[in-house]
Amino acid sequence: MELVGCLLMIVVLSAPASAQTPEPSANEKPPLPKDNLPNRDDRHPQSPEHKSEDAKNELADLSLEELMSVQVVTASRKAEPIDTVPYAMSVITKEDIRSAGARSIPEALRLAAGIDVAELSYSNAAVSPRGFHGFLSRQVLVLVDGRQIFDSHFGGTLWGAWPFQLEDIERIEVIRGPAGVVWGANAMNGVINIITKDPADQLGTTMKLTAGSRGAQTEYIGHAFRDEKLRLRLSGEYEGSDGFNRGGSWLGGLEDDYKTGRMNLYAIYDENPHDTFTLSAGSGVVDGGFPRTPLAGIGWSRNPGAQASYVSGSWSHIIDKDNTLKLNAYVNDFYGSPGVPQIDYRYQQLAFQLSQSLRPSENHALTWGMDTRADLLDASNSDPQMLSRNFVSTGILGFYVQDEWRLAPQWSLNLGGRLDYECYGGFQPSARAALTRHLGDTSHVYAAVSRAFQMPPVGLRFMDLPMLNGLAWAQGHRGIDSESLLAYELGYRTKLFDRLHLSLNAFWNEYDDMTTLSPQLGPPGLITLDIDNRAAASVYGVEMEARYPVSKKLTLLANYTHQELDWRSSAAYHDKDLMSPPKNKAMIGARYSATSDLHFSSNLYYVDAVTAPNVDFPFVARSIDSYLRWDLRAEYTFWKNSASFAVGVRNLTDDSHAEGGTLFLNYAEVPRMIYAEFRIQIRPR
Amino acid sequence: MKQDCNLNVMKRFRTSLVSLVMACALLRAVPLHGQSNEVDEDKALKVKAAYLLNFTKFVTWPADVFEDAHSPIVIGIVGIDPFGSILDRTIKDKTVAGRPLTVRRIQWRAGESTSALKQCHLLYVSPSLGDGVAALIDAVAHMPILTIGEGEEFAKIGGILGFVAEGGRIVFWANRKAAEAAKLQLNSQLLKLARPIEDVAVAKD
Repeated sequence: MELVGCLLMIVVLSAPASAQTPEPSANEKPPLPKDNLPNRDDRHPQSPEHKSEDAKNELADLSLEELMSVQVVTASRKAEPIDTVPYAMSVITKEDIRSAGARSIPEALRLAAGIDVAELSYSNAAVSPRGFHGFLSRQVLVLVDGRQIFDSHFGGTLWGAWPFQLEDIERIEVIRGPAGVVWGANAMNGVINIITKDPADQLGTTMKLTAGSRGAQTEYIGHAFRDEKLRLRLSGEYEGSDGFNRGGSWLGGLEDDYKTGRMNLYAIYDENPHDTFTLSAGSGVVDGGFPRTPLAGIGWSRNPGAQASYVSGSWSHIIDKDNTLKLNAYVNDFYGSPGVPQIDYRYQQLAFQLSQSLRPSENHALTWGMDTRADLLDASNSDPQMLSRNFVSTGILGFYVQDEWRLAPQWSLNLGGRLDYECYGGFQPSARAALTRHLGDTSHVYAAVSRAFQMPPVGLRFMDLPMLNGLAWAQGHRGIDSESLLAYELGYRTKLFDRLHLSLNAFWNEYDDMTTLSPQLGPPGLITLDIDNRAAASVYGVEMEARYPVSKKLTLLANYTHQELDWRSSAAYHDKDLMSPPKNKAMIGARYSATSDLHFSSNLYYVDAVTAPNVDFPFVARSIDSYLRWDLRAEYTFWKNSASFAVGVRNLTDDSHAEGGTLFLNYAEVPRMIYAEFRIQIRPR
Repeated sequence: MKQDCNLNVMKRFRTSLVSLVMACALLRAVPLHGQSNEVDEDKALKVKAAYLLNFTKFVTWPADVFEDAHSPIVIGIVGIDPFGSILDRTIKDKTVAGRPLTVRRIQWRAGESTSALKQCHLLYVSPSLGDGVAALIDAVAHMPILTIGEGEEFAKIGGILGFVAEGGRIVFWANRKAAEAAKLQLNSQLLKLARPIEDVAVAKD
């Protein structure tokens, strides 16, 4: 509470700083920014609720005189970010992903401040904002065009299993801090929102070929077209690799080879100026991808793999310019087995989401919505078993309201509340209040307090999983409570010297009822890993993110995060199968365009030492040293930017290093990797 | 003599080589120089899309071109659409005088029917049409359609408004006579801001 007081005091004290931003008179009160609310459905970039400048034309409301004064000569080829929402938010654009040479979404997420990334094998990564990153990070919610990807059995996101195609991604928005009011359960530490390209921005046929060390290869082909009302893209990709092939427990050899085929379809249909429909569907098959954990037991082995498919549709209806209705529905179908016979499961998720955005008055914006999701889990193929039942199902229903008031020309207040009901977890509330002081057009400071929760996935409640040939068992129970969070945040975003984009954030998160897997002696085996709410914790820290276009040719990027964990439990932290948050983490990047065709980029990452779950000896945490990683890339574009050739190296600084671990996979080390990439887009004439 | 001949050959070879290197250096210098004024294409398209939206507010069409008071204003794009989704996003959720806006992409060649063009109130004529630009201007010159294209030349050959990059900004030229021929009223504020083109021919009926 002292912290809240301090935060609010800082915001209030910043009020006299109006010397640089004169107060408009009462009748000049600026209208409330329409896009100031986080959007729960970013699938359709035309959405009027859409908050990112990438998605709307921020110049649309300018007058003729103002348009005539807009400079269209740029300092760099990079689009300028971003927004004024009272959240700690980073946007990783398609240009960022490309110039960083990222081969996966977790690698791209290293570019954002405050998000912990540890690569556990070629296709698995631990990713979470503000602590608690692990193989299955349950405290972060991942969305693809508004569709949730959250494992029904273990929770978290299996990054290598879902059919992501980097070439189709427009941008990744990362919200650090609770966003549960809008997105409900699991958006506790933050949201990673992956937004794919509008087919109209990718017209024609695009092909990309990459080849690199350790047999890594990717072949992508996509075709997009448009007619009067329809924009459509169909794309597919094959990715294969021999894996990192470094590391491995002394209990068993490492096999993390990975082969996958993916296909995605995305269509937008503008029926009329008021009604827009979207349809997306995709499927991916993975062979390998999960280095088998030796903790499964001697001889307990099968071929690892996964299949993931989805169909998603939405309808957006503009009732009038201040009133928009949106309906989404999707189905996720997932099957996976990480190479051990006792973990073999399939689930379907069916979800409906309805939301309405209104502007009752010039200074008041309101969004309300309701959503429901059913999870159907099938573990009948597990051998001997992974759940106490073969089939488990659950449903969750939520209702929320989010309100924003422009109290005065330079003050706005966001209030949001949400109530969820889940069959096993019962009712859970979420809430957020944020007070923002606008310091001119490009600066603002805000303070926020939030309550969020993480609902245990239904598979965790019924888990009855043998390990070490039945000597140890992981067991859950129906009565596991939701983890809860009370979060305090302070944020400041500004543009200095007309170029330097800077954001600073501080946070204090208080967790309660954290679940752990506590080892206890006793049946059914010698040891039982009991899943229950036995922990409380505090995580606090500061984050800085900066982007500075020094000249027309050179742009510098930087981020820095400091965070601390205070774990309070009779159970050890690594019993949660998570890595400790690195105390310090930083990135320095540079983008240099020697000519309009030749581009160089460099990204240097530093991550402090952490502790991780230990496959070799599960009762003792494994120490992971700090590491420095340097990625370099050079790209030459030709044929009027329609084609490019790039070469690069990832992790130049060392031969290989460990970044983390999990009890569910053998551990792998991230090696040095070189690659070459060719891309061509044949545009329609 | 043979040696002299060889020397001459070597000298010519070296001179050619130096010339070639210098030519390459000069050629390299051209894009470098050009890059210092590199236009942010994405931003330029956003500005032009915002202009298209704005223009609809400063033009009065004859009353009979709309079916009723709520009929949409139709923006047509003829030729290759440079805007991608930018224009759709710009006009989404916008109304002008109570009318929504909609975008149509039209493939048209000189000599073809103008029936698709007639359904539009504003036409952005893509430079990809090449020689077809002039033909299109002629074809719709006396229809109540606001024609917009690229360059001062567009307005000079009978188009109504032409975008021009000037001093790192996008401005526009206006051909008032072409607008009169199309029976369109351009607001005085728009004409005041536009670079005026006078005394140009308008296609005859």
